[in-house]
Amino acid sequence: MDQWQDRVLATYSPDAYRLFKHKNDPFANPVGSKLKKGLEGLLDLLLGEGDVRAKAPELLEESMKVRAVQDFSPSDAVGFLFELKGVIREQAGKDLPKLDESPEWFALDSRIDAIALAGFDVFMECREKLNRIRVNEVRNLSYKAMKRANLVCDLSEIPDDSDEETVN
Amino acid sequence: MADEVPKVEKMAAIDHTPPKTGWMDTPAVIRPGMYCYSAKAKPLNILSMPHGRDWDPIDEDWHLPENWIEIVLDGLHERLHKFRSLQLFMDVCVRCGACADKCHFFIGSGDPKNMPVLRAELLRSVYRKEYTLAGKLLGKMVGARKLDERVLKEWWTYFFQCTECRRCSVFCPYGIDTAEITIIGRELLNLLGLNIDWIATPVSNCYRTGNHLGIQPHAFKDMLEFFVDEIEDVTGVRCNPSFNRKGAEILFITPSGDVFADPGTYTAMGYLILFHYLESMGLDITWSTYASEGGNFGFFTSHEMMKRLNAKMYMEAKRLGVKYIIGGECGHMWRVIHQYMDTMNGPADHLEVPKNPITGTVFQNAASTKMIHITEFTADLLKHDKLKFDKSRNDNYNLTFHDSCNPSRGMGLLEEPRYIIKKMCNHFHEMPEGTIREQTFCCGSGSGLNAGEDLELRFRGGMPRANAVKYVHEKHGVNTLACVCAIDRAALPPLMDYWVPGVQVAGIHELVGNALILDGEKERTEDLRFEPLAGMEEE
Repeated sequence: MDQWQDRVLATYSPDAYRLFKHKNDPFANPVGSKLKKGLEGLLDLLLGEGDVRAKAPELLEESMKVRAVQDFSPSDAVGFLFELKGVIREQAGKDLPKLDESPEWFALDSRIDAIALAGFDVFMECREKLNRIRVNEVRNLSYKAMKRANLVCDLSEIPDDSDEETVN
Repeated sequence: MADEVPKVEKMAAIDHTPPKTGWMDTPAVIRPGMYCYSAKAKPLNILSMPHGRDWDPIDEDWHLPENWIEIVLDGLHERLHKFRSLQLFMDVCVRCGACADKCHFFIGSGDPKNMPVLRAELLRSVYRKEYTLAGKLLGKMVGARKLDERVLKEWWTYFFQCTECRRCSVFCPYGIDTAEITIIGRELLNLLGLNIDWIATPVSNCYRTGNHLGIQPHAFKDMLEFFVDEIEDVTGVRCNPSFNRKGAEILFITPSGDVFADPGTYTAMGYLILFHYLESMGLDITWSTYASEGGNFGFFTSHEMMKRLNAKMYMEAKRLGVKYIIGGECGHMWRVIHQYMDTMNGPADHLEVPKNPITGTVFQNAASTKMIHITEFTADLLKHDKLKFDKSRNDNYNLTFHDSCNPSRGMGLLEEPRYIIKKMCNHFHEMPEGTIREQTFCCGSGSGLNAGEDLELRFRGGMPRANAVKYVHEKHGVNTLACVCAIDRAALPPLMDYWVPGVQVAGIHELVGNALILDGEKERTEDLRFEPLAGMEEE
């Protein structure tokens, strides 16, 4: 876990690494604490039995919200999820060549891939939400300006005559 | 499919650490989402500011005047002599790093140039080169560098990634105010016409029409009358505000955001209700359609521009012959009043020391500026039991309070808003220590950065604030973030939408407007947002 966290935090500057890694107060260090919490959850999910694609999005949400507003390309923002493959391989040490051929290894890699795909979905949702908020800000402003200037007709204020009997 | 699946040893051996270069060798990257559009020629020309032209930060060529280096260095020289604080801040920093992890932009981005110490070094490095022997002789070795176009672009990038919130200064053992360094940095940029549109246009509007949005007097009056209609719908009572009335005792000035942008508009309705309530008790107050802006974006431009815009409020007070001014729920207006007005346009000898006509309280704290904050006024009324109210009307609101940077750190307004909230609401929970009061986290959009195009910048800067809100939202079910600043009321709703959906934003006087019991009112079933009161929901 520690190594994975290190790899993720290495995507930031050394000054940021110091803050994100070592400050434990979640209010003084929201990025570090959100990332750490997310990684811990994902590791548990990965090593457990749960359905990865179903459960990963919730665990990824806070981390992806953070990375969606930072200076990352989409691939860099999500790329840290693949880092886990390297970390696990490092941990395997001498047993690596033997394990590399095993079906369990392949299954584990596939689960990591599934998390990464979910990560990409969540990242894109965050980016789309940002854009929705941006559009809403502009739309609300211009709509309200027009409303105050009496340039729009609010349909809800017009009596609904559809129930009235038609004379014909 | 890849031709060859990489072997595990190879994958484990990949170095994932990005290459590191020193800060001086890492040029600033100006990318969409992270910068505000540049100031156009027109607003700068209206203000007689130098070198107004249409330019684009993304372009390589910023069309700088030929002698731009001379202009900036002369400007720096002038300011070092004019502001002793600047000279001190340039010399005294020992780079201890106490401020480094206190900036919301650094906490949110991890970009080292968002560390206040390094942001200041951007300017300080040029100062060293020009003014210190070591800097002249040893250059980069002692953190000195020549001013060139790359440095200038770095200044522009990062001085417009600081909201001048002053959180860093709270932690500096020497009391260095990095906001003051940003202020000077922006002044120097303005000598070359390098402002941002979201500041220059409001300043020019304010200069011509009296408010940032460019609302003309008749439209300003129309909008307040629109609120009068809305209030009548909710309460059954019709308020009767007066405009530009000579001889009134008090002039009321609030940010134009309260008049124009939701949810600030509900706060404006709260003011109208309060003033109507107090009318029969002897309150004699008028609005101005000329000094129709409390905010002062001149503050984000230059000291001179701040002075020009601040002066109009006092000139209007003089023209109308009022005794003093009450100011609305605004942020930087109060920093200007509290820290600069007295030596810029003051003392306001043509006015009198504010005295509450209903309680008799004399506000000695405003003896020189003659201007008090509306929460001081309302808290005083509550303290003297002068208001009848029903706090259960705010029962749908489970509140926390965001100390806006300028009223809290800039003028020490910490207790009054809380006092009013606790009187007006049954459900209130503080955010954790270290995120409120003097150490409050900025909304991430202050000092003119609340534009639409720099949303990513605003949201990463606002993350520490939102993170603390999320905590009380999850722990106590908080659903409303109260604040006393118009920029907060504009900036926090989208910030909440992204980080903490389910939390809305309200001004303090919106709560007052909901709770006040007016003479002759109808049975209140809705709040000022036309939402049903608790227990009044339709079956």
